[in-house]
Amino acid sequence: MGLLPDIAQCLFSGLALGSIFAIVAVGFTIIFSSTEVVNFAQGEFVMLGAMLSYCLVSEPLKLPLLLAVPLAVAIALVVGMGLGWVLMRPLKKASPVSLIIITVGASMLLQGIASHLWGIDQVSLPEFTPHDPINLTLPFWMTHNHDAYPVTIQVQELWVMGLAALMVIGLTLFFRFTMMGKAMRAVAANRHGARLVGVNVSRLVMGAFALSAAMGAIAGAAVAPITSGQYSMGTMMGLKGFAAAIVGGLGSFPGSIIAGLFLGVLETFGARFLSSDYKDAFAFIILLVVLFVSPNGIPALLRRKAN
Amino acid sequence: MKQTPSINATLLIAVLSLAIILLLPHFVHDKYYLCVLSFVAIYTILVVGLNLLMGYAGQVSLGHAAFYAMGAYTSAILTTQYHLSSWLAMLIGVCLTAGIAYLVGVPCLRLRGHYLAMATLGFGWIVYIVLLHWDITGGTSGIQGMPNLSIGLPLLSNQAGHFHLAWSNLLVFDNDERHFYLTWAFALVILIISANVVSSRVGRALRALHGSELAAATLGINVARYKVQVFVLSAAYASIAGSLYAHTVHSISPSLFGFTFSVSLVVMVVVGGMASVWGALLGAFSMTMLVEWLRTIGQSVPSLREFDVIAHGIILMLVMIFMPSGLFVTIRDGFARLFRRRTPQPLPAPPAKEVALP
Repeated sequence: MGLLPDIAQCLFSGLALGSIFAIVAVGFTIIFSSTEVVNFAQGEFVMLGAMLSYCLVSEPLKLPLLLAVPLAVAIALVVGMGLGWVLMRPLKKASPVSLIIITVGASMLLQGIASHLWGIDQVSLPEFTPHDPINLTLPFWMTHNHDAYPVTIQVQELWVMGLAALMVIGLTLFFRFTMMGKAMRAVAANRHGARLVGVNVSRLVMGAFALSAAMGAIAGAAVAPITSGQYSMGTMMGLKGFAAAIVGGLGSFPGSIIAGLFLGVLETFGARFLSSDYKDAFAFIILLVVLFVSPNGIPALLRRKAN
Repeated sequence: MKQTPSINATLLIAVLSLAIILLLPHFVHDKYYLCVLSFVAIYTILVVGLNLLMGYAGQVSLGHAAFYAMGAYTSAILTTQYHLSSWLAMLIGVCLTAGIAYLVGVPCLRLRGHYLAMATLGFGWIVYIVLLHWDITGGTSGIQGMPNLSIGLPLLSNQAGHFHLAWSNLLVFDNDERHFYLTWAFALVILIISANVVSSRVGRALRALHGSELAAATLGINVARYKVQVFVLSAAYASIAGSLYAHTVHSISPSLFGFTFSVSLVVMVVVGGMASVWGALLGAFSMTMLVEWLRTIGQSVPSLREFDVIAHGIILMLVMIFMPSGLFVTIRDGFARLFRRRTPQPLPAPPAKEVALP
């Protein structure tokens, strides 16, 4: 197995994994910039997407995947709105710590319900489009060894990346062209100012939660065929997405996306070349390094360098 | 700004607590609950430290379990693998933990905002993952067989011409009742130290910087230095608590020191009431009892799988939504309101104005 195909393989799987982190990070950013809540239940939406889809396609219901995934996303969206509704009252007076604890409580609640309903075993969702993995051989000028192991691409990984890209495009359009998207940007820029010009902040909070819950659930359903789903999968997904959001400079969408992709690639490379035992630690090590070097994220560091 | 409790009040509470602690084992005959109460003492030590950090320095640590783990694992490794004295191991654990907390705290606490929360969150996970995979820490199964703590006198013994320093064990903390007294002795000493810290010059500085960092800085308070000091102190407390856990339970594994436990500690602080040293005791007690109670209920109704996790989550949310300043502050204010209503109103109510209804 040559080094070059290995690198290409890691890069590809890393980008697929990173797309999930990026989506979770964007979800964090949406909620944080409109409410200043650090939502530790963000990863649970990913879990809900995966587990609900699995539940809907398996035994009693046996819905087709094409129906199950949108339905799962819709349920997660309602759960997200519920969380937004719960946070509405304390949002006005509670301290950030209390708000964090509420989201942690929600995360425990959702995980508890998930393990109550679906057990603690890993489940695997069928691929969206069942297909044999695609083997790509690198062009001859990149490798001398013609028997080199080809780069294997799972079709589901293409789905993950494609859906992530679609969500990013959709989100960009949403923030640029819809009234609600513009209102969210206004609140992120200046909460009081937005309220003064008549933005309905509470409706917007619900919207932010619904949006990031739906995005998380889509990501969860898309990643479940690759990594398999479990009631506890949300914790790590959520925290790595959180790390990506901080590394990308909390509040910046492009920053979150790039940082998410970067952490995903870093994790697969670290797992392949350094230690697979410690693969979960790499994202947090980067988080610490970034906090020490440039606490407002990499974009702030780059801006400072540019000036 | 909160009034500093007088020394007399502190003394009164301390004496009262001491009396309760001395008498409690005579009433609690269930060994299991004696154990749970020892855990309450250990958690109190952790929560006091975190309370100083959150309530006085205005900073949150979401990875305090990591410092707890470092104390526990240092004690465990040094006593089981290197056969060091338990007390020495505890001291080394405290120094090590404080040093690492200093390194983590300095870059974060020079900045305004909740950077410490994020850094400690990341740090906590790194420590947890290292505990899971490092061979010295025993992986998922952890470390077992730590010796009991004991009090003794140093004895110089002569064995075949070589002098050995040995300890005569006057008192070995080797059963649940003795563990109870040991852990509560530590908890009480740490509570009293903390109450003194709070009412000292350092405490006044901390309260000032919690009120307004800018104002405190203009008064010549070195804001960053005080915040780092409190953070290091709270990490040292956590390390002591970890060592106590290692020497009383004799078995540690990574699952005890995860993110969930860090969050539970923050919850205990908030429920007990921030900026209240004695509230830490109440927070640790009530949340530990709640979890035990939920576990008992969950076990008696096997069909309700994961009942305790679900109920715990719901209770956390409800407490934070309806009592954001903590359970005990809310109860205290409720009582205050109740008594205020009973005092007669000196002034008659102004005559109601007639309102023309449309």
